[in-house]
Amino acid sequence: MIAAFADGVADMGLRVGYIVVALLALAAVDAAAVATAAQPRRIASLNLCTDQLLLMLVPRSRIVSVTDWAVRPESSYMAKAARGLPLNRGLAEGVLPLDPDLIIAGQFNDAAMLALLRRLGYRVEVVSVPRNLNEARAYILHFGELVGEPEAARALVRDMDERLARIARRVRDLPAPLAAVYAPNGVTVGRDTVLDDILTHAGFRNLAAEQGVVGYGQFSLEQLLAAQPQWLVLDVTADDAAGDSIAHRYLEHPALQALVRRAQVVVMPPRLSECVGPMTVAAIEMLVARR
Amino acid sequence: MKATRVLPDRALLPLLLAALLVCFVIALQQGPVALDWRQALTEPRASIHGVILWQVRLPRELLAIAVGITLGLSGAALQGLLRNPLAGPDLVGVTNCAALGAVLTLYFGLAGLAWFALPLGGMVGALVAVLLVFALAGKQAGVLTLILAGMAINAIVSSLIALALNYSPNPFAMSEIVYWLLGSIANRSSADLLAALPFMLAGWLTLLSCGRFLDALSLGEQTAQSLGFAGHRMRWRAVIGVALCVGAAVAVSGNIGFIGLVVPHLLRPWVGYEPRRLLWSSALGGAVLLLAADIAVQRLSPTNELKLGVITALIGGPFFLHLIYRNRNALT
Repeated sequence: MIAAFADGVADMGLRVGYIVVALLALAAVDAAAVATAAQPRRIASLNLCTDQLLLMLVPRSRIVSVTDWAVRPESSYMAKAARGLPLNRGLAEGVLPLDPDLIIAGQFNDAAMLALLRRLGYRVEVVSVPRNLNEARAYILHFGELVGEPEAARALVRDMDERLARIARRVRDLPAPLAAVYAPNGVTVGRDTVLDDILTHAGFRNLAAEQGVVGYGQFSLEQLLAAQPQWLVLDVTADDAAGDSIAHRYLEHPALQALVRRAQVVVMPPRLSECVGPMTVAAIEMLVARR
Repeated sequence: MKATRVLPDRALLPLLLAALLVCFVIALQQGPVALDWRQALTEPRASIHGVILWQVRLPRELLAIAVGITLGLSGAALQGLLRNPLAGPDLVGVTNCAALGAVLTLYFGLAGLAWFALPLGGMVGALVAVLLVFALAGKQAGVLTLILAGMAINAIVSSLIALALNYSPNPFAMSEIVYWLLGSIANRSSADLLAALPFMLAGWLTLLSCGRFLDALSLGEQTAQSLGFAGHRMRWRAVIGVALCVGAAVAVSGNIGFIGLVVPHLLRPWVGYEPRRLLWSSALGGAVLLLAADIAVQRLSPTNELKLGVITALIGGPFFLHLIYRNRNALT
């Protein structure tokens, strides 16, 4: 009797299953009718920066997976929007079961893995993730074409430019104080970087750029102290949840704290500085608001 | 072997102290900023040069001295206790175990619990290793057995350090394996120095109090007993001494190799092969050598500093080979 009952339940489960499948199929037809032929409908992203732009441009229903970084509030500007999506670890295995029709990766994703995905017949697009605001415009527009949302991409760039213009008008007549970016291990940030863009758009002079640093460089504690910046932007790169390290203890050095007491200090959260785009404008607005 | 003139303590120790002082002053001159000494001395807190001298360079070089004393002294003590010319805190695995203890404390959120948590982690690691070494040596192990066992311990423990760092949530953890395996005192602050110094001091005093026992022990286990030394108790005292100072030192400087091996060997002829005298001179000699190594790393790569262990291994490695070559008959 128990067996018969179990059979009945299984049967019912099967029937409910059919109904769900039928409903899903209907929904899929519906979505297909809305999306044009050029629009990929099952997009997966393998890079934190492409994750965030994808979430800004494309409706959630057409995203099948983003990286596990995208949902972390400390590293992702779009953490809230990413919540609930299937997550991958930037690896092929994570996205294959989701049957994506477009896989987006950054230039630093594993090339061998991407080649494998292409051999398996998937459409893989590698975008060059921008390092600064100048590169960001072309990148966003190109990205919009790839995901079939060119109008949304144009609107996003327009919005960024308008906000930047407003900031430029605001800081035009302010003095330009000397600022230094300092990260764990004494890393500083010079020309051709997003943090340099953030500083200069917010009306600061970047100490490292003026001393000839291009990209990321190293500033010893002594050099930083001797240069006496008026502003110190601490790029903490990870929040307290990441725990301790020698690199982070470095920022607690009493001599650095002596400088911290003299200078204006801004902590730059990684969610604003790791990728380039609207989050960059938000970082600039945050700095300007502090002036 | 070349005959070296034995120097009395009243000549040797002032000589080493003078060398220490010279190295200390030279070390304080090193750094990317040309120091304005007058400003640094007259305005220690208000001026940038004052902050650089008193809060950046002085804690660093004082730590160099303390770690150097620890490594030289514990090297001399271990060589005497184990009656093994190839012993050193790093070669028998004590420093690596201390580093593992410190790594587990630092990267998994325990270091913030108390000011002494990090040195404590190092000391627990060091204690485990010294006990292991003495357990091995107690079974009448030959010179070679101990060194091979040390090699195995080092291989296991450095893998465990890598494993622990791999599981740390901090994005910098994995790259910091270089610091733990090769050692550095760059950017160490007065906070690090003060956290480790009490334990290092206690360890030094404990080891220095073992001097007469080491003298007796050099005549053989039986002789030491007949001279009235309780061998068992004295050995425990030495174990605690090594664990205290090496554990605390490694917790704030990583694993700086070979100083504990090289310094006692260089000084042994000068003290007439007396283990007790060797303790004092090796302590000072270790400090001189570590300061010299720190001057070297700062001169060789001013911006992105070399790790101290690179320099000490370049000096100590060939020296180790030389010792093996010289002792090859005793080893086989």
